[in-house]
Amino acid sequence: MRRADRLTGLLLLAFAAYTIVAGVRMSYWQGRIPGPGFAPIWIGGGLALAALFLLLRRAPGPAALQLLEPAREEEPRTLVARELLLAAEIALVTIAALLLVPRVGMMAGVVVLLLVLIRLLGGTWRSAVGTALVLPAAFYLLFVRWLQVPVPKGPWGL
Amino acid sequence: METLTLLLNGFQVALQPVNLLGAAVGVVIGQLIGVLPGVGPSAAIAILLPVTFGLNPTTAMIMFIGIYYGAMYGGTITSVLLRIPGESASVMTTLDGYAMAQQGRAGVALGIAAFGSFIAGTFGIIALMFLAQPLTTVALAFGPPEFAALLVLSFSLVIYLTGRDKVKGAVSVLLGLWLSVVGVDLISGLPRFTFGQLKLLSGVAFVPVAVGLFGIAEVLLSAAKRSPYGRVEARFSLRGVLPSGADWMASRWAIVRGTLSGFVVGMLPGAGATAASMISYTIEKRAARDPDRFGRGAIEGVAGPESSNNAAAVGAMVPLLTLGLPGSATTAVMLGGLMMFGLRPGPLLFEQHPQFAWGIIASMHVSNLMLVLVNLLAIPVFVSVLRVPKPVLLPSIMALAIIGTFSLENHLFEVWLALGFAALGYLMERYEYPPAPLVLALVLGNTLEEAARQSLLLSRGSPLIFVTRPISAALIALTGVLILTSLLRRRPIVTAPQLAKD
Repeated sequence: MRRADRLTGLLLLAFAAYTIVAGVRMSYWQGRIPGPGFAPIWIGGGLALAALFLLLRRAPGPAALQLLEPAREEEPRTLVARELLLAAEIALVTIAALLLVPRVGMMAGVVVLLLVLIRLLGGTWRSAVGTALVLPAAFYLLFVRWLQVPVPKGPWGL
Repeated sequence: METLTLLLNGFQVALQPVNLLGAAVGVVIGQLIGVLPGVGPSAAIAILLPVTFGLNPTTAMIMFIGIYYGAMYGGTITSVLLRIPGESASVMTTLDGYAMAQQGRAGVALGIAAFGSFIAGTFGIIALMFLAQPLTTVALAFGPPEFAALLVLSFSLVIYLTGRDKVKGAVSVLLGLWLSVVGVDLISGLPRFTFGQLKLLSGVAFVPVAVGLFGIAEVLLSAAKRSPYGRVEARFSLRGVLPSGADWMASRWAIVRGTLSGFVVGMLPGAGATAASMISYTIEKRAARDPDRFGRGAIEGVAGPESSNNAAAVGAMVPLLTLGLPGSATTAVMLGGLMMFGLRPGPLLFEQHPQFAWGIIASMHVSNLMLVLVNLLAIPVFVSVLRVPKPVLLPSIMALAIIGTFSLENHLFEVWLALGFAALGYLMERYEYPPAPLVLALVLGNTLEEAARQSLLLSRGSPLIFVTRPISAALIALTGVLILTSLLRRRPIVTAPQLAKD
């Protein structure tokens, strides 16, 4: 977690620098009125400060900074890796289904998403096929028929 | 007297068939959501927002409040029967509720929770009725400097009360503020952080952020967790859930204390129903003659926190409706929804849309009554929801989130945006950055920027305007005290892994 905090701190510091530079370019004042860069500069400053807290706490420094460090339990690495892998798999399946939507239509994309995700999470073929048939039909009635949402249609007109 | 007249007018709105149906649907959906671990009321409301665009704003808001209420109680069912809180505000109920279930008193635990919730909800709504008018009058005296100072104080409170790591809370608020400045600057007309995307000129849409951070991220997180589904075989009768006279005697003061403390805590930004239930449990344990009973099936340990979390849900509506300040993730999502309907909660809401404002308050009474009836009659139905296997439930939520987000603008851009925020939400939860402050800041960021810039315009650029006006000076001083206390205090006032998600 400490490494994660340090990495986040560095990323945030870079992001804060970018925000401040962009804010300065937008201009902080326009005459005597705060300009469009006013908020970005303050937000960037706040992010930089928070990033420094993340980077510096637990390191030698003012006592107040160390007080902000919470006690924490570390999780086993294998568990973390397994969780991350499953989340990544679900995300990849969802991205693939979304990329299919413009070609095969929203409903067919949802069918694919449901079939693959249910199987990925350990569901039976029966539950996967049943859900992939019933749910898109319900969505079709709700969103397309009732709410008149113009969803992308595939070669089958659905 | 005037309040009662306004309330009667409100009932005329609340009792319209379509609004009654909205309340009933909201309460039932809320209960279902509360029963399902991993799906909170904020996620549910965010996912359902697009579906409600066909409704009028009053009915939609009534439904959202029903969901919020229902979810508070739905979580109790799994806490008592499975020792798994359906949502974070029911964590404390697992301690004595589950112990009562093991002693064969699950029905009584669910019954006292239902009655306690009803009493607390009713008190909360009455208090809201009488607080709304005076708070609105005070808020109308606020100028831009006071509003800017109030918002800064609110964000500081959110950071102070949310989660256990204040630096991470601050990062979350700042990221939300950053997102709120994306788009065309309304004063100068200059696009900010749009990266050439036309879709970003009008700013980062709120629903994809909420759906991603709360809805889809929860699916990703829940997938790897141990599932409680399919483990419940309990059966209930109406007689089995009615508490006896002795049960009532034992829990009456717990309900009173839980109601009062819950309402006050609920009004604080960032505290929410979870903190309220924890505080109530602590109070009950301290007040008990024999605190050893707690954790072993003490009925006060169920009655207090359950009353408290419902009172807090109503308490959170006070700053939302009167000042336009959401104090929790769920009320932030509600505010975002209202803004999309063209309504801006705040002091002017009661003046410009009294039918809406009082209709909402009256419908809270209706929802509260529906909740207790539904609870007592339909507990077995809600329990049976747990038989839906996780591999079917999570993909179904994902599919609904995708098509719901698409229907916002009829464009896949919003869906991709939601997926991006889901990844961010997953990482934030994984590394203990609370996502709720980000959403609060996104919703309120524009108001803060506008108020700050208007203040400096009034003072011709002098920041002294914030400390020379008495109300804003007091609010700034309070913020300063809060920051100093944060730096010097090792432990936050309340700690919970899922705090302020309610």
